[in-house]
Amino acid sequence: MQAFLDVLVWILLGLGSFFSITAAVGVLRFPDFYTRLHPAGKNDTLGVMLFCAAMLIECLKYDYSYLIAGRLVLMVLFMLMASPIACHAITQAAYVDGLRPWKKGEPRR
Amino acid sequence: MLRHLLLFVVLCGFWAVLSGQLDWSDTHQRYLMICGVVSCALATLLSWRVGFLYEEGNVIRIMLRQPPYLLWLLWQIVVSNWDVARRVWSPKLDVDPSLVKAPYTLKSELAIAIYANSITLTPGTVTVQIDAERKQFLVHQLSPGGEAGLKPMHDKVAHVEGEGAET
Repeated sequence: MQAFLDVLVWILLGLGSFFSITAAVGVLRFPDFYTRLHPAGKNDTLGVMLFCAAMLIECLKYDYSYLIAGRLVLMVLFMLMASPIACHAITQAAYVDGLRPWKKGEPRR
Repeated sequence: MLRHLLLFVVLCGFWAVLSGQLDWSDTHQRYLMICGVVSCALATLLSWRVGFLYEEGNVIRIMLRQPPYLLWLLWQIVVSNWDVARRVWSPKLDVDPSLVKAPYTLKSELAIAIYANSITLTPGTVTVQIDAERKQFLVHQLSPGGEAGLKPMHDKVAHVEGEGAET
C-alpha cells in the first residue's frame, strides 16, 4: 500500500510538471496573444491541481494532517476560480484595446 | 436570512481551516477563536449592510447540484489540457484560431459567471467578452468546431441553476 501511494505521488508530480512545462512551451510557441492565453490559462490550472493532489496524498499518508489537506483543497478551489477569471480579464482588456486576433497563414507576432 | 447564516458558517469554517488553532483550553488559541467568530460576524453584517449578498437562485439547490457539475468540469479540464498539450508539442503547430459568438439564456449573474469560467476551462475556447445586452459571449477558439461543446455545457449550467434548459 505504501509503495503504491509513493508511485501514485510520483506519477501525479510527473504529470503536473509535464503540464506546467507544456504551458510554458505553449506560451513561447503559439503565434499571438490570444492563442498564448490558452495554454497559460488551462495547463497551469491542471498542473497546480495535480501538484496539490500529490501533496494531499503525501500529507494524508504520513502524519494525517487534515488541516493541511483542507488548505490544499481550498487552494485548488481558489485556482479553479481565479485562473479563468484572470485569463478572461486579460483577454477582454486586449480585445477592448483593439488587438486583432491572429488568423491562420499570417506571420506570427 | 438563510444566505447570511450560510455565509457566516462558511466564513467560520474557512477561518478554522486556515488558522488551525482549535484548542479551547489554551488561552491564546481561545482568544484567536473568539477573534475569528467576531470577524466572521462582522463580515456577514457588513455584506448584509452593503447588499453584497447574492439574491437570486436557490442556494440549497445550487449546492446540491454543484458537485456532479464540478466532477464533470474536472474531466473536461483534463480533456482540454490534453488537447492544448497535443497542439503545443505537435511539430507543425496545429492552430487555426477564430472568434465565435455563443448566445446564452441564463438569467442569474452567478450562472453566467459559472458558464464563462467553464468555457475558459474547457477544450480550445476562452471567453473574451460578455455582451449582457445581446445575451451572448464572444469566444476565442483554437480550432474550428470548438463551439460544438458549448451548448451541452450551457444546458448543464442551466440545470445547476435550476433554470429551464428548454429555452
